[in-house]
Amino acid sequence: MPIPDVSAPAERQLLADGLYRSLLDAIVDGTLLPGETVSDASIAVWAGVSRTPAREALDRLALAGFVVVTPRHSTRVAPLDEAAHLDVLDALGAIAVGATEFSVRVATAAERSRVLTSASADGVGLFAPDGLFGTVIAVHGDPYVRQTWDDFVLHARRHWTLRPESTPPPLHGAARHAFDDAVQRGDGPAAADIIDAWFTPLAGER
Amino acid sequence: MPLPSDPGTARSSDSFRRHAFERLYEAIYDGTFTAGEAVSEEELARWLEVSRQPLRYALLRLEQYGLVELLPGRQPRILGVDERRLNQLFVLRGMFLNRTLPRVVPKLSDVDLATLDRHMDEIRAGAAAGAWAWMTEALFELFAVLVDADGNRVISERLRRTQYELTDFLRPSDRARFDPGVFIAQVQTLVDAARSREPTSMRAAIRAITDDTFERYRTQHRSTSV
Repeated sequence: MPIPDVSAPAERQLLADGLYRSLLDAIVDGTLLPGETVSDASIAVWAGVSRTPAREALDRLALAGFVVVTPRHSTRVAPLDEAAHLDVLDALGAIAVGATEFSVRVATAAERSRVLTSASADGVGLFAPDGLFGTVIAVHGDPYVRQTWDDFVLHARRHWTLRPESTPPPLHGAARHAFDDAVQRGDGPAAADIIDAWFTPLAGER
Repeated sequence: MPLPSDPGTARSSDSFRRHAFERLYEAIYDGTFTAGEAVSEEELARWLEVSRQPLRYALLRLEQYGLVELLPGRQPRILGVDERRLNQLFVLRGMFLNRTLPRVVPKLSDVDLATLDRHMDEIRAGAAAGAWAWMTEALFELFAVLVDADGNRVISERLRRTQYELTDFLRPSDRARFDPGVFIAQVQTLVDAARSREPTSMRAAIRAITDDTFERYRTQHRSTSV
């Protein structure tokens, strides 16, 4: 039986990527709790891999802010930080408002109808790819904006999962009607104002 | 080849990571690599004389700065900074600055305003002397005064990340890309708006700068998404 050459770089890379995604999911959905210790050795045992991909996955999580290395060189899942969460929401607001202003102004008829049919009945769902904000970001179309948005959404989702009382409200009723009207008119600034008004109380006093 | 994987050598492993990151970062800018080039990790590790771990770390950091593309199962690709990338950086900066700068204006102290003036003088002096690094540094310090006064640490960290690449934009070899006179006038309108202490003036000043960026995105770089 041929022995798989796990030292081939492409193979190792896939391993490290898969591991990173699994750990990220576990942190975002709260399976790994804030403050929990995650060592490359324990991850290697848990995932049945060597320490090299485990270490790399941890490095990536640290660069993304999901784990922190303590002064004594142990690695822990990043603690929940209320102030940082509000900053993340405010940063998401900056992107959502900017993308709305642009997207609504330049959208084609097809793009406009995609925004009009996007989901907004659930606060967390607004941030999903088919949610109102996710759709506006997709219509905006810039990959760097999208990547930054996705990074921040993961942090926010983790907070909402672990602290359900902080879950954001939906965007419905009069606000959604006014938003849809603005989209139909192609009025970017008016649509952006509605998104701004939704984010401002959420992100706290500035 | 050094093998810094032993947990007991954390310090020296940090220094290999730093070496790999800095050397690779320089190589992207000094033309050792060309934009779009794919390079094998083995080759890079040999060239940098580091093992795989510090190399991976360096590549991951460069990916964060948008200088390298890492896709599963493929060789790392050097992206470099081209017009499209610069526009992306300015688009994101525009979104963050539009949000933070107008609301920070009423919070600025007299000391902050004096600091803005000082950085403005430095920018002018740097441009006049053709000292681009000096000018760039003063420019980023000027923005830092405004963004730090706002206090959103997540946004200020993201803006700082974009500066690595924008520094390159302002290098002498790229002088043809922009007119320092226009650029200085734009920054001066921000400082004037800060002095007015009126959010609406700041909003207008920021818009005057970002409208151009967003329009360039729409006409030159946006690919239809739906």
